Amino acid sequence: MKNKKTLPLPVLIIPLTIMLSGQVFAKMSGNYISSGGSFINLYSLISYICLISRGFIWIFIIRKMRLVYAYPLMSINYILVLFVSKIFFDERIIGSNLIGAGLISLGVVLIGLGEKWTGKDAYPSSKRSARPRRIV
Amino acid sequence: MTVYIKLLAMVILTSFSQIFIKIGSRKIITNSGLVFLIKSFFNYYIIIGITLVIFAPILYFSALSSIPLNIAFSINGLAYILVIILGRLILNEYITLYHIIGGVLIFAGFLIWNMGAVSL
Repeated sequence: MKNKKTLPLPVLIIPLTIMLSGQVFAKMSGNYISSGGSFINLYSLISYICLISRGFIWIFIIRKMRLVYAYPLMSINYILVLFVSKIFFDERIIGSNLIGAGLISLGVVLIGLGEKWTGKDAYPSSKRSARPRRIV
Repeated sequence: MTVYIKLLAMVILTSFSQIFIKIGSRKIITNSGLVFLIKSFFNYYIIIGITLVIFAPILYFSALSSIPLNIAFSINGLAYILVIILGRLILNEYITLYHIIGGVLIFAGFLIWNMGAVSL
């Protein structure tokens, strides 16, 4: 397998932060709309900027990092968003939120593992036998 | 109730946008990142995909005007499931046991997350 340059994992803090800020601004935009404001407002603009910049940064990162690490680590945002909405919007965190967020994160991790074997050049050919069988 | 239809529509739009962008990027064959970027602006599939990406957040903002952020965010997880299904149907991608278990966990997580919090 080619030795590609890889980015250190803490780099993922950048897309995570941008993603969560995008969510905060989306909610601020929602609050603004519910108080009679227009759909086109500063908050939704910033939220769009977060969305687009995250898209570009994400493309850059996954070119230099193995998806099998990148996806699972990004799934933390399902848990973090609960705390962010508690801090910024005083939303309640109930037990079922945390269990649900944990399950969703776990599901995303598993799907990331699935990609590990199904991705084009994701796995060394010597270990092809370890590949899970195609089911559907 | 209409809030959940909006959120579901958002998930469907974002999932389809991924599929369109994937079809489009398959048709662009180049090693240069810059050439790829320029060519993608003239690729109909990518243009459709990006248009869907632009419209989806409007539905999200609108939904967020009446429900809490953590409820709205949980529905994003469903996009993973939809992309796997669409990837199989449209792009003939693989579905492995990992995808199935992961999808089931995400769906269960989504239901549990919203247990007791949703009033339709």
